[in-house]
Amino acid sequence: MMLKNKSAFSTKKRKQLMFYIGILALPILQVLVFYFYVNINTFSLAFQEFDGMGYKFAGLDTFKKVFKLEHTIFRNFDFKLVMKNSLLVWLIGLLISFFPSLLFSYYIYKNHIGSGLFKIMLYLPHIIPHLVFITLYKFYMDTIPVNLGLITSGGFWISTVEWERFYYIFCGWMLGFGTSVLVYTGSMSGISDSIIESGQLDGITPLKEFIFIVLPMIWGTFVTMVVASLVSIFTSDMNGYAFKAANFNSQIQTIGYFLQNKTINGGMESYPLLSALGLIMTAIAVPLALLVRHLLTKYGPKTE
Amino acid sequence: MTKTKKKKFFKMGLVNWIILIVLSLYVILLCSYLLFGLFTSVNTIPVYDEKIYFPGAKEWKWGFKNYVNVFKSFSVTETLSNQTTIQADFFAMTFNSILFAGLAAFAKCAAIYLVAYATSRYAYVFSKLIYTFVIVAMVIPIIGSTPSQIVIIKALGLYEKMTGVALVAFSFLGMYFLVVHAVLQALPKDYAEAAYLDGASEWTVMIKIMLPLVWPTIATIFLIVFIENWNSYGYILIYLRSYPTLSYGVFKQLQTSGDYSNLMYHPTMKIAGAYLVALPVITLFIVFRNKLMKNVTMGGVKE
Repeated sequence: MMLKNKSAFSTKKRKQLMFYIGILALPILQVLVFYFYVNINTFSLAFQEFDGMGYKFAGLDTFKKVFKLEHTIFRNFDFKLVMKNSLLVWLIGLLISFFPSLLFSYYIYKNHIGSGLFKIMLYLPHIIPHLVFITLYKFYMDTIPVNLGLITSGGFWISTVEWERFYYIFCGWMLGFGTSVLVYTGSMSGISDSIIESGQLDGITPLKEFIFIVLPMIWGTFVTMVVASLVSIFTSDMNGYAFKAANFNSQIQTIGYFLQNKTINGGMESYPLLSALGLIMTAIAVPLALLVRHLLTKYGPKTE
Repeated sequence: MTKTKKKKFFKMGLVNWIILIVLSLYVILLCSYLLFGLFTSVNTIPVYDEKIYFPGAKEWKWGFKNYVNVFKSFSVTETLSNQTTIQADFFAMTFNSILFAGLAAFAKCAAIYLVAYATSRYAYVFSKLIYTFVIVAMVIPIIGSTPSQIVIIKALGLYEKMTGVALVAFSFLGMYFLVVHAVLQALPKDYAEAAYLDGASEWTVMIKIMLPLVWPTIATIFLIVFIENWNSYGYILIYLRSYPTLSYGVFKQLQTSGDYSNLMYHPTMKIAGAYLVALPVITLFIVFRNKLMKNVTMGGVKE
């Protein structure tokens, strides 16, 4: 009887295992090909070059070419300027969007005047196709400020590099502002009401409530957002490709735009160089992200 | 305004007032873009060229002619990698958009459910390994891997093929996996155990018992991924020019400037075209806004 039960049990276990393998096989195969193999191949491509027929091993030559900017894809490519632009866009984003978002989220979380409407309106740019928003933004900015007499002509925005930069950064802010506010608001809504109420019973002010209760409770989300924003230094294209495709002003282009543009228009010859450049950026971004994550987690506010 | 709200309104501190003003300005600006777009899309070309953008002036005339023209003439011509040229009109692009977004959303949701189900219901070491891997993959990105992906997709014969979309999208990586995993793990085991006692197979339990229980979450994710892909032009631009979608059409249209010899290049037409692309997703948003908005708070679970 016991043997029979044991055998039935092992048959059930075996069936379970077969089922487990069966349902995981295809998704795992997909990840092996489109994640692991793609990333391994990025490493492999970075040590190859295109000879017109196919890729062949080139050792460190590809990296040397990237460091010396020795290839036609690097024509008009000023590495220092591109990195400066990328950092500047990130820094401005941090100042005008990232930190203020926390306060705006708190406002919505506390259900102050207009919170419901703001929630919907902030979500809207996330729903409307970015290209549709960019189309509206482009024609609006080219016509309405001129009509109102705020600027002299539709071409004003490209009159100086700084105005052109502002034009794209402002568009990015309009598009991305809502998302970060709503992510923080979502995180805040997870805070237990009893914690807030006990603070209020102790006569805590809104500012203290924000600093000593809310901020520590959403610190995990905040750290994730900071880490994601750090990676965006190397991936954000300021919507440059959507606006101008390959013709974005080289004076304001970011590393993200460069990688995207050359991937689309550089041809097979450029792939090893772009892979090498991408790996160099990864080698900077990953330790930086992990370090910042570690520091913020270690020294950030703690929930007790 | 109720008495409590009135009291709250007047008792708001300076910081809250500043926030209210900034948020209001944001909303006003956003609405002014949308209204400008709406009025331009129903404006006539000569009136727009006279720099009259809003109703009120006596020259202002409105109608749906731009939309009709977009239906009739909005098209994209593409030369593919095998040097053949294809042309897609508005209806072909709409069909491609539905196919592309639907296929990608279905493949993504299927992969997420399968893996989340397996890893949340079966306590094998491999399940923990997968869960950890998903988090690691989210934290550590590899920058510049698109060229490698292009090479592999071409080598697999999936370049410019719709089957490639399904295979690339059939990935469980990302935040939605964690959401479905958490929902499945929170479900009581009683339902499945009762079904096993009644002789149900593993497949029956997964499809007929557990799937309906997580269906609202899966449906929301499907909706979000569908909208993301409906709005995306990047994948089409790099891998799938053989199936130009509406978003890709808007991208191509946006790149044409100054030359109004082609009627479709005029701002009124471009904006009417853009609005037609946005209409389905805005409709989805209006119908499912509560579900979609709730997604933002998925990560936060109240104690």
